[in-house]
Amino acid sequence: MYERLTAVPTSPHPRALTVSPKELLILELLVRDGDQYGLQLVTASRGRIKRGTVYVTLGRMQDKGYLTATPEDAPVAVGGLPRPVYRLTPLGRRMLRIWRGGAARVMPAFAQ
Amino acid sequence: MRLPGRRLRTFATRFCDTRTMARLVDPVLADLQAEYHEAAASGRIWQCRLAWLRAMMSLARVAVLQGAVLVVRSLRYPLPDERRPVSRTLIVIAASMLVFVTVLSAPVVVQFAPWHNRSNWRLVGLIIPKTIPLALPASLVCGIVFGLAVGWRRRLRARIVVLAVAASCASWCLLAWAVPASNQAFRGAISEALGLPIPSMGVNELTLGEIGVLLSEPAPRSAPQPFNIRTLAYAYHARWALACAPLVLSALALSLTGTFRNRRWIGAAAGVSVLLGYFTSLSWARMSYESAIAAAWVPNFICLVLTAGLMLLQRQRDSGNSTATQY
Repeated sequence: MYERLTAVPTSPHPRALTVSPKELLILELLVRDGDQYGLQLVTASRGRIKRGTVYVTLGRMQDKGYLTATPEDAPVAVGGLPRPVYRLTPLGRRMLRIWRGGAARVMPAFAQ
Repeated sequence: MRLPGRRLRTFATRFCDTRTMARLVDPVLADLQAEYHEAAASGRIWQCRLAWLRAMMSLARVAVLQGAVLVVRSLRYPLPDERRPVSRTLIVIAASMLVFVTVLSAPVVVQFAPWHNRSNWRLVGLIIPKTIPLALPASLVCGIVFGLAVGWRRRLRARIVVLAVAASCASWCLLAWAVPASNQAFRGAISEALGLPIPSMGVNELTLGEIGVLLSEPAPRSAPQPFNIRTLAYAYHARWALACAPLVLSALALSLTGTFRNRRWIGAAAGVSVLLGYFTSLSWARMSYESAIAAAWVPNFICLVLTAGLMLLQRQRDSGNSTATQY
């Protein structure tokens, strides 16, 4: 199971390095609170990210290389599936910095 | 304690690749198991059920979203070895549709062609755009079946299912709104040109919603009935059945061509025979069955039974081949 999470085949389709509003929120939450589970991100976003869509967004961000997922450290006593913990990559941090900087330059002061 | 989600995971592995399982399905199931374990440990039964329900809803959303994402991505970035078969299938579908639209519209146009009167040119110009939507639903069915029968490749099966679903949705929209509107416009144009009053709407000129309303609230028995109930019910169910036809017939065409793989001329013959068989059984069922539901849906049902039989045959043959290669 652990191998499944770490050795995931990469997408054969190219991904443009853009940041959607949801991805931006996830990047900000991960910078603010550190590594998190998917459900923790849902709770921390206060309803802006939904349970049904969080893993689609996180998967897309993994394809782009903004995040990595590692199985949870604690051994699962009851034998369930390990939950993935999402961690920012250096590329993710850089994209957040660039996006924030770009937004500050492009958007007028009242929109920020 | 037995955690939920194991059977669901086994079921999902049949349809999802490793990547989808790891990225989307396993995290949702892991959340379900973690929440279920917490709730069960503290004795909250309803919390357990709620966790299960939430996970089901999440999985359903994941399936829909991922399906849409895959379709859009594969259309935007087809892999180099996929481009040729996909474009060949699409070209055959488009060409077949064009031929069928022409063949189906021609008799109507020829009837008003300006053989005797040059002023009929205007009428022909008016009615051609109105006959095209009328011919489109049947042409869509014919085009997709013929296109798949000729241009299909085995490894593109998932993509073709998506194409068939899209064709069914388009066919439903056409049959529900565009065809009735075109029918009435066509009648209006002819009547106006001939100086006759515009005829009132018949069953074929009513939208699917209007037929549904008439069926759900029939006029009182004392009042004159504008439409025969059986005709109304047949029109309603036949439109639904015809909208499902691209999906059902694509499955049949795929199983036929899979049975006679690597022989394109057999694929073309299979496509023609599927189409002939479907439309013959449609008119046969309409005359044979009193029940409108049976009359409309029997041809689709026959196609599904045939598809299942052919798939079974193919599976048996494949397993026979693999056993032969083992020894």
